Amino acid sequence: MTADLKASFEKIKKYNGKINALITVVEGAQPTVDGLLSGKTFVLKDSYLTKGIKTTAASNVLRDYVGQYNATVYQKLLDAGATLVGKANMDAWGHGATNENSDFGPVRNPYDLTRSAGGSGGGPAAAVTTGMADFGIGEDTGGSIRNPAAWCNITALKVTYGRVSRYGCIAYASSFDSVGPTAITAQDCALILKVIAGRDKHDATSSPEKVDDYPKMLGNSLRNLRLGWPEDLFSKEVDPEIRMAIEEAKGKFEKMGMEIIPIKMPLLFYGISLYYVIAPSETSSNLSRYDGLRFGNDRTFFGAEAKRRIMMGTYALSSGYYDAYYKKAQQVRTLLIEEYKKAFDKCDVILMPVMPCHPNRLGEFENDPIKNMLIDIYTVTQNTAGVPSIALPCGFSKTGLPIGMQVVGKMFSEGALLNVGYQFQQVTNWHNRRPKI
Amino acid sequence: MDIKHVAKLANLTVSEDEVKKYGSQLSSVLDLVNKLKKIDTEGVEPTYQVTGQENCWREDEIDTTSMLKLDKKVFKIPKILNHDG
Repeated sequence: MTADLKASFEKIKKYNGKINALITVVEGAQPTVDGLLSGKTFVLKDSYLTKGIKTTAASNVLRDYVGQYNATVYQKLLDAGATLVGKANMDAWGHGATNENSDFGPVRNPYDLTRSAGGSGGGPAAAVTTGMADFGIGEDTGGSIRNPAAWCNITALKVTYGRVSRYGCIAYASSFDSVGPTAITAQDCALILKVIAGRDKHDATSSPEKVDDYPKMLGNSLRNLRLGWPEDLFSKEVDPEIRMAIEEAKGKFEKMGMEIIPIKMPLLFYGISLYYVIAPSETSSNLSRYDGLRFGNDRTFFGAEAKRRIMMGTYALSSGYYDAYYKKAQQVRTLLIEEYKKAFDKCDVILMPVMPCHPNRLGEFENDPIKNMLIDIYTVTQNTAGVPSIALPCGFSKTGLPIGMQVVGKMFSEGALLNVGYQFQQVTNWHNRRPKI
Repeated sequence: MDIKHVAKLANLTVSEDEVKKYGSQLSSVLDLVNKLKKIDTEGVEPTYQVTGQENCWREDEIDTTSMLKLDKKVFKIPKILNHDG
């Protein structure tokens, strides 16, 4: 990690007006204790509660809301000596893939200011890639950590469901939500995960599974590790430049001794349909608490996308439609989990695209919310199944836009995924190419 | 989808313009999710969560840090009314 406190604030001053990555800047922030992350600065997606500092979820409903307690992940980072410098922009409530559903304006992509930084966590990714902070904490429900990481050229980990406590994180879809680190390198992500992972008595869904010493797991050889290659997923829908970059990465992995195993996962194409039943259902329930009495403003302050998702979820859960939509989707979820299990009988990790396309031009999807949903195609199924996935920079388009890939692993295989990322970053330099703005 | 009815269930107010706009947008979302009907799920158990855990109880311990202070038989709370002025 490179930036120190002073450098972070200089970058924030210089770039935030251009890219709109941060909603709140924590002026005068200072570390209070020494620890594993001493001297490091970070941003939190604005979905994490911070006592005394505004938490908005990028929605007008919570525009001036100040939390009463600290999210567990935030407290753990403070206790490790890291310093919070900002609360980062996002699609309101996590609803979106391009950050254009933020009530605080979209985050601009630092590699091309006319384009999206990705979503829902465009803010943390754009802040990290421009050096406003050493690392960011995102929240991934259907790609919200990995998608902006791919479009902003950083490394990011969506952890196994329950690996990191969700206590104090404003809920989107509770059975999918996962908290994870984003940074320039996989090595940094390993150190951060070591600090934030583990059982939390305040989150009953957090896992009692032992936390590995992730930084120590870096450096193991990739020889004979089996890399699943789901040929079908690289269909016509993937931009040819993205496909080519990932094929080149596959070649690198092969050279490093990994065995390439062709696999088929046809059910993954139903992931979007499944996701857009379950996630809206859960969000309609989670957002029902915002009635203007206990938190912030009343329900007329919800934006269009939140309203659409609340209504979609309410419909899917309503009497007479529950079996056809909600229950059906949860049955397909069982089949999808089996599909992942079958794949992991044949291979150890699976290589996939993160995004099917390059960052969109801001406003491009304005009248077509479905298009905004469809670009989640490769990132929603890992949340449905609960499995972890690391997003890694793997190239650039001819026009200078970053390209990312993801490596998906079995439940609680974060150590192995971070090592794959670490090894890849020993032989490539994509992750070090910073934007010129 | 009857937008007005669903909005009422969800405690949302929608304008006439929104009814029209959301009506067509949500019918495209329904087309998208209706693809699930093609999958045979006869006899498949639904999955509602992936933690692998069930019945997570915590110890039934008293957390005194979350309690109001007791002074003999009355609760002591921070002063909320200003009597000085």
